[in-house]
Amino acid sequence: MLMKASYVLLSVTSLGLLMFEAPRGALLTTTPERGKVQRDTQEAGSGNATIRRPHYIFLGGYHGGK
Amino acid sequence: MNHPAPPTKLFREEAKTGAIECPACGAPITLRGFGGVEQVACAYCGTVCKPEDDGNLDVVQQAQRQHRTSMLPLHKRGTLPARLSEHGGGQTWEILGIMWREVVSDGVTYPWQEFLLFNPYQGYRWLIYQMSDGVWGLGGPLLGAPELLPGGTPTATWRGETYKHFTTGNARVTYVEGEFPWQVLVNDVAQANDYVCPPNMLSIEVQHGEDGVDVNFTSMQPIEPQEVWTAFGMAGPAPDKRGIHPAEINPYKSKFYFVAAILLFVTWIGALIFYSSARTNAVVYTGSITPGEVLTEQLEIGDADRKTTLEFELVAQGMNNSWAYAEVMLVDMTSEEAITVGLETDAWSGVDQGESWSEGTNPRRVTVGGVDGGSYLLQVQTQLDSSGDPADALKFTIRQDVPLGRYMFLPFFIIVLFPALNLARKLGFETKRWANSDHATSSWES
Repeated sequence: MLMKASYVLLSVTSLGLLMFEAPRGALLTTTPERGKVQRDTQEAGSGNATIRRPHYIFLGGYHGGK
Repeated sequence: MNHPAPPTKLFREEAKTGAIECPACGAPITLRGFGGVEQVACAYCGTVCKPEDDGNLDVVQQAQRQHRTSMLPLHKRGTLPARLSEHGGGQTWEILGIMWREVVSDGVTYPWQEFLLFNPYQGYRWLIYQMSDGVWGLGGPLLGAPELLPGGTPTATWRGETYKHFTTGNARVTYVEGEFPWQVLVNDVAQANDYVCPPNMLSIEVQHGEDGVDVNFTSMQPIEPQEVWTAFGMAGPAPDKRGIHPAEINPYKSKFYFVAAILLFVTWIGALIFYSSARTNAVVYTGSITPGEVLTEQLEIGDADRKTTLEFELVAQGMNNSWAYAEVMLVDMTSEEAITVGLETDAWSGVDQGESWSEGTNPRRVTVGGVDGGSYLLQVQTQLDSSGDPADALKFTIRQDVPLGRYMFLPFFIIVLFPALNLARKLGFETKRWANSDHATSSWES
């Protein structure tokens, strides 16, 4: 009985994931690293790179939710 | 005028069980089976006697064997479970006689104990304990004869049900104790043929005697050890059950998984079509990156207040025995928060002992989910391995709202997994059931 209940529950849950969660894709995908960025003020010193927009430096990690 | 003398008693004497002595060892023997008893075997010395009309016992087979301790004691009374009403369930029975028998097959001895149950209003029943695997069965006389159909796997038909042949063997009596409504002696041999149609079993016993052939048909059903223990009020835990009764219902035989799997499969197909058709799989950005340079680009991803999926793809062109790496950063301009994804592509090849080989991942794809829609600044920094043949160019692509196979096939995996597991357990049960039969490799498909 437990197996049957688990079967129905897991099947319906996975179908629910397909219908409602898959468009967001938040659960079964690679989680990218998230964090704060900071403008790089030393753009001129970046070698031979061509900078067309403001250059950001990824600070990464959790910064107190700010 | 002569009047007949008044009777000395208005009623006959109350029926009493008879208490006599074993003519061989002098042990007390109490007859409880009334007039139906054909023989009684002394519980102490094993001497088999036949009750005579004058109340005495005639010795049929003198013995000096030791008493064996059976699973249930002689003369124990018990009320069988009501669910087994066909075989005397709900009635009180007394163990009138005990018989030990065994079959030798391929050099292996399979012993069992048979308990003859008696109820003066119901007749006789059999309680059978398989000593090799601890399973119990309850049986009674078959009111008729089944139709036997010989063949590769013989079958028997009874009341519209087909019973498959299970075993045939020569059952030899090794121990007798108590009363029996027929004569049974140690070393008596009968051919026992068992047919099964769970939860029922037919046993056909053929015994050749001086007066011809004696054929007995018995119908049986499995009974759990705990039910026997409870019925007879035995102390302590019931003995372990180590095997499967030939007529035990397969607990994994169910139409549930078949019906449920079809319904879920149809639902899955519908959900799959709905999901796939709703995905735009749109290209947000595609372009070439000059190796070593930094790319920045303003992007609009998805719809505001809705999360979406992104697939990043990096293709290195003209690269061999080298690698290329891109660190992709999507900066939310309003919050100055970013997500980063690393993409490394590599390609390796060579010749080893005359055989060429190649390996590596090119292109490299990474999918991320839960990305909020809105305006982003894309920033891609690349690095190249200077050894080997570095990439001439790097092609970088971002797609949004991509269909994800992991979500699409997870339901299918679950929908198939449980029925497959149940099928495996069902077949395993049947394999174990038929392992002790004469058809160990051919009949478990049912």
